[in-house]
Amino acid sequence: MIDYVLRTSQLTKQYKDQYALDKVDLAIPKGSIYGFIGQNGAGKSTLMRIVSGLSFPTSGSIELFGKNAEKEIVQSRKRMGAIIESPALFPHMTAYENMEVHRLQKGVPGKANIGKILELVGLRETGRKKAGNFSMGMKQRLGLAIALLGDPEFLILDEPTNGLDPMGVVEMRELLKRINRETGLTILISSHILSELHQLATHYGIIHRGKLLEQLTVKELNERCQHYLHIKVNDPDRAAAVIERKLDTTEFEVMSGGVIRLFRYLEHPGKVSSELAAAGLEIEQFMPMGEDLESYFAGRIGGAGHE
Amino acid sequence: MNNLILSEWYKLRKNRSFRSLCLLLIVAAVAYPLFQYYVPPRNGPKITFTGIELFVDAVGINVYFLKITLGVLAGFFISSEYSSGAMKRTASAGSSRMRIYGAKLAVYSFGAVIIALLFPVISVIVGSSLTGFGQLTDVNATEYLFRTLGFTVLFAAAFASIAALLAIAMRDSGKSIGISLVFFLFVDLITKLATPYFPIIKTIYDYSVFNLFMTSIQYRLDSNDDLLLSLTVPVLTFAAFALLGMYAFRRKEIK
Repeated sequence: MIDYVLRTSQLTKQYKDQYALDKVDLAIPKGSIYGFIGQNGAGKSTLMRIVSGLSFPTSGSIELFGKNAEKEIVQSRKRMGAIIESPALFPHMTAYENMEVHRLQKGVPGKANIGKILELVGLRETGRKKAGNFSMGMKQRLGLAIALLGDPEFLILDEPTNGLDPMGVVEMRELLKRINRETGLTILISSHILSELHQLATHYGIIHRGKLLEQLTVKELNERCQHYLHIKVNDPDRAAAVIERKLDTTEFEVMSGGVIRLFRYLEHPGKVSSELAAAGLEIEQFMPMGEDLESYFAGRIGGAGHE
Repeated sequence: MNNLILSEWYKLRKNRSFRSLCLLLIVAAVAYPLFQYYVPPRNGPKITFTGIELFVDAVGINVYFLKITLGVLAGFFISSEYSSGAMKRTASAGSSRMRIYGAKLAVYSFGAVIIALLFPVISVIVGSSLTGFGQLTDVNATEYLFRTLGFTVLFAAAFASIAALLAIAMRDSGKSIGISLVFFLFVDLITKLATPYFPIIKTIYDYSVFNLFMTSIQYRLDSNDDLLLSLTVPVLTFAAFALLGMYAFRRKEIK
């Protein structure tokens, strides 16, 4: 039986006549990295805020670490770390002092823990520099360090790569992967950089206008992302005829610009190129391609633009 | 709860506005008697005062200091946590909203008490070291000193409880400071203006901490009723506003 860290049932949040969340049933398996995908205003932060206790649902319920009574949920949040919307720091305090506030608050024994975590996120040497003078990337890393205090079992990260430079994004991804691998920490993460999320998450949830459209594992996603051979030739109509006759398939699309997408023969591309060449066609481009998370997401939400 | 209080106390100690207010009050409390002692008025005799006389002056001035500083501290200690986002961390760390508010109020009130005591206590120490402690004609000076300091603690905590509720309701340090200042500084005036139209307001005011604070610092309390009211009203005010604050914070959405 799958052990879930978080489950929501018919979770709804309504502001006047608008639904920020509409009957969301979400389940996050223990040990997973759950990538939460949606446009701005889709409901990602609202769900994270409710799970973190910052906001309250209009109806529906949540189950955190198997607990669903209100008092038990509050207690269960001690096993969680979270960054919601911003790193939430005291700008007049140093990195160490920021950590100390939260160490005291969580009752984490031993100040030595602070040094270890600051080392982990690369902020050990910031000394007396105030958090208010940190770069956005440093603030995000300090926010993560605070969330990691007390060895949480579940981490909620709302756009943790905001403001990070490309190297910072890679470092953050590798750090989260490593912690997940070494400690089994479950992570719920939202990000606008879907390519990054694709390299990190083991599970996905797609939310659109407050409704959870789909939940799938990385394996299911890879299966559903359509792969094809991208072929650009000098005469696409003749190429289409060759494919139909010689390769005996109609599973292809003729696109604009002389491009053909062939959804068969992915395992035998050589056969395709030889038949086209034998028919005297000039092959300008020939490569296997596939949908990535970004295009899959766009397809799922119906290609809608930003709200 | 203990963890929360330790954490709040750490934050208060590191709070710049708290440190600045304390420093300002210490400087004022030291400078005030020194100025009076070393700079006599032009064409007039040198002012002589004793420590306890200076204390009486300081207590009168302190009422206004307290009303101003409480709002400033509430703004920077409580409301600013909303704008920095720090309140989100606290609220998501696994403690109930009641405990979070309780710890914050306890430490903020403690800070308010420190601020309320600094000016009169330092004044009496500096004054006494310059000219001696002295006597009062109407009342035993030592008894008056400790009674007034005791009431200052009670009333500071009661005012803090009101200011904390305003700060939680406002969420923004600027608004919180502004509203607190207007409320605390003009509550007496507003009451006077409103009394002809709503006589009940006068009765409420007479039994409120705003009026009783002034009563409690008089040399003599006219009756046992005044003493009893000066003891019970601030305690009840603290309790009532603490409960109101907890109720307001219990289901508050934290942005």
